[in-house]
Amino acid sequence: MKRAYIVGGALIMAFAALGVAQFKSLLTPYVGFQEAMASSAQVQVKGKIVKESVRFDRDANRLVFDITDEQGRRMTVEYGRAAPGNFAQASHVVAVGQAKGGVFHARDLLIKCPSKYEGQTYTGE
Amino acid sequence: MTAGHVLIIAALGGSLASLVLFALVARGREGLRDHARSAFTATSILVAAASALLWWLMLSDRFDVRYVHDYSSSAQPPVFKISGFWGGQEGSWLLWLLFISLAGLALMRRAAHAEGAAMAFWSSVQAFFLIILIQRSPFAPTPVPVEDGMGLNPLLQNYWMAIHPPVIFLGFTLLSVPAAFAFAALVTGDFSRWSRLAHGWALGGWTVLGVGLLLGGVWAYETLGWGGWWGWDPVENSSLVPWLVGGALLHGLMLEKRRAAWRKLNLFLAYAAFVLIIYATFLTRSGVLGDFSVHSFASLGNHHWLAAFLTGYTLLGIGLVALRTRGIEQGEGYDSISSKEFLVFLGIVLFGLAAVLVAIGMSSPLLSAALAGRAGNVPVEYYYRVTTPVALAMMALVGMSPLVAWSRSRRPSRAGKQLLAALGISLALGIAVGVLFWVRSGPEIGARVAVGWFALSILPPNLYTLIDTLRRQGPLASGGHAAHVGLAILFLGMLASSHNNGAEPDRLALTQGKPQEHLGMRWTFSGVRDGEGSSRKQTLELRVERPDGRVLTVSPSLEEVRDGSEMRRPGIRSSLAGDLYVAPVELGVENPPPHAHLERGGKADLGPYRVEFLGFSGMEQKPDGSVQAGARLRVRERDGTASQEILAAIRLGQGQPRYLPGRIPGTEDQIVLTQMSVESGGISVLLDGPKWRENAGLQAVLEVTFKPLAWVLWLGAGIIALGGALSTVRRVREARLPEERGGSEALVRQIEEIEALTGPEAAARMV
Repeated sequence: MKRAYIVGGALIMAFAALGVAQFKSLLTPYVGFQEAMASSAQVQVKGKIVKESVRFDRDANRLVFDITDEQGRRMTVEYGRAAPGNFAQASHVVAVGQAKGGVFHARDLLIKCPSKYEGQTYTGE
Repeated sequence: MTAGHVLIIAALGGSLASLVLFALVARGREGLRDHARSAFTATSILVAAASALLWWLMLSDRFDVRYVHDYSSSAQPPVFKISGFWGGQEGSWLLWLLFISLAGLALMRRAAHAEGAAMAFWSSVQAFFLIILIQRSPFAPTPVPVEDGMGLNPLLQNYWMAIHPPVIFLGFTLLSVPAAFAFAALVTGDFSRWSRLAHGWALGGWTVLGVGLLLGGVWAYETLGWGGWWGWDPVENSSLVPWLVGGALLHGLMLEKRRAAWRKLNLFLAYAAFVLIIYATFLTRSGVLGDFSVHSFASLGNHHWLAAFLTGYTLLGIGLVALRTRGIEQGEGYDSISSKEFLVFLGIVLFGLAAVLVAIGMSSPLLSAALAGRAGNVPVEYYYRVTTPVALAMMALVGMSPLVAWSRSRRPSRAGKQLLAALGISLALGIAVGVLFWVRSGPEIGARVAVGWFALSILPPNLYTLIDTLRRQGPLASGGHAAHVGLAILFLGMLASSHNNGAEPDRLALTQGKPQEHLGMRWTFSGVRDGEGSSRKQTLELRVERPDGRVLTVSPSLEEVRDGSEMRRPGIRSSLAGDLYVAPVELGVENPPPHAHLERGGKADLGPYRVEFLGFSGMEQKPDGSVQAGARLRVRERDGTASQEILAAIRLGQGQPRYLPGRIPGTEDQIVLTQMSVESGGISVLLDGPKWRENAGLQAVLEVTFKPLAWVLWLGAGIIALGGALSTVRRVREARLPEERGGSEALVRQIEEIEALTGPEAAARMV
């Protein structure tokens, strides 16, 4: 019985260590605009979409728009793909990515549609 | 108070009564058993009646009921009126409760000596669901009178989506039953038969939940256009974690039945599966993950109840373990580490590890908020990195499984040992080659090579054993082997079909009538077919000529749905070689007509015209609640001098804006006001007319990927499900065996010993 605990325990420790290491290195914290702009780490930000600012550059295949936070601060977000399905109607967006040269480069956009349980679905993957 | 409310409240009374009565039965008041059963049966009938009522309300278009208004409409096809039952939270709670009640009726008849305690536990679960349904009733009235319903979300109006949630809820229900037996065993202190009673339920729940996950994957692939079949979204993960724990449990129960070993571990796993199902429900329905998931989780304000339920059952489990764990007798888990018993134990550890690692990722917002003080989330890479090593280790065990003997069976033959050595060498080579590729081409390629190598190495021994078992003992004994073969095939399919997932998909912009070469095929966009009636569906018709001359038609579609969001359904053409997966991005024009943005007093060139924005013409409220606003424009031909003032307007209300263009006198052209902002004082205009329309050129932008051998993935998953189903049938039958044959444990043991022999024997004959 002892050996089972030793082998099982070693396995668990090894994988748990891997899990914790990956968790720590990949965790993208939720931050405010100022912090997002100040760092170059992967973070996620949430903001209200400024409707007038939304434009899609078809040649560069890039969606660019501004978001504002609750304090009214403004930030430009760039997304290297077409707008997600329900982007046009979304009020808020969660952008996952990093800041580079004053612009937030999003690799994922999560659309907030407060209407429904399981349904409004989109992923950038 | 409507009939629906009355049914739910009466059912709560019934379930509390059956809870108390069954608890008394468990304490020895045998005379109450019939009353307890009657109370539970009556409760279940009330739940069934409430469900029937909701279906009837859906089918008879009773839009005065809010739930019907929200998830149905008079134009909705009857099949989606039926599936609209679980289109929203309240209805899906009711459906789940219906399954719990039906499963309870079966459990009541099958629970043997454990009936009192197990049914008391089950009644408590039923009561909890009823409390949730009183909190958020599907029978609540619509606050204001309405003509018609809003209709079920079109994403859910789909064959796969109609059957996916019921299958998941059925899986959750069945996989919770072992917890009732674990509870009963802990309360009564009688552990002798709990594993035999629970095994069939565990297998059944694991299989059904697995099929549910698979259906969700098919839905994501075919309807949502995720491009893949698994997105590691919290909604998916939250069902995956109980499934992994269920996988650990059914292996553990197998060991416990063989030699009364790992009893404490199994009791823990059975109870953990149940608690994790509630935890999953809490995460996905309380709204706590709202900012972290691509699904939207609107909180219905019942998360306090969910949290209370979760905490209550967790504390109950901890309390029982604290009180009872010393009294649990269990045998030795294995005799030697080269026995199959030990191998299976390691498998259980890996299942548990996979569950913990996925659960950590899925809970990352809560964990990081609690530990680091602020919420964060992990990306999809986390899951790939932590699960790949677990998957490799698990495959190694699955590969060894048919080559290693149970410890009390005959000594393994020499040939068996040689095969095991050969497998070991192959797996070691796989690791070595994987590391080589890791160094040369990066970790992802390395991992893929190793996973593929492992899957190919473990397939032959398992396939051989499966065929051999099928021939000698029939299908019922082959379930486990089939699942192992399916696992290897599933991994191969996953690798093949996702081989280009990392890269950005190729984007193809096709202008109507202008063929293009892409991926070695000739693509033609022949036109757009509009949906019938009020549907806003636009189907893109694509003709694809393959090099061998065969012509395929692919029809992805774009649809604007009720709330204005866009649904993009991929076009998929499957063949033996793989799936051609065409996801629509947008439908636009190649040469957009002249357009401009103007500030008040500003001028711009618009094609042959010069346009000046003079000012807004004032806003007007229309009787239907919409607002009409116009812009005054001065227009002259650029090479002319005569200018004229025209008015273009836009009407904004519910739904799409209505454009009221201004015709330029003496021409066929008109100016459309497409956007305006009173705040910034700016407008957007474009030039419309026959000339501009002809020249525009309809253009479809598509993302095209080819997914090689996609069918292999579904085949592997299907074989696992079939294996699970076969084992379920076997274990359900077996659970009845001891009673019918006067409790002959020895006979069951004997049968299993004989089966165990076939593993190494089969291996010996392979040489």
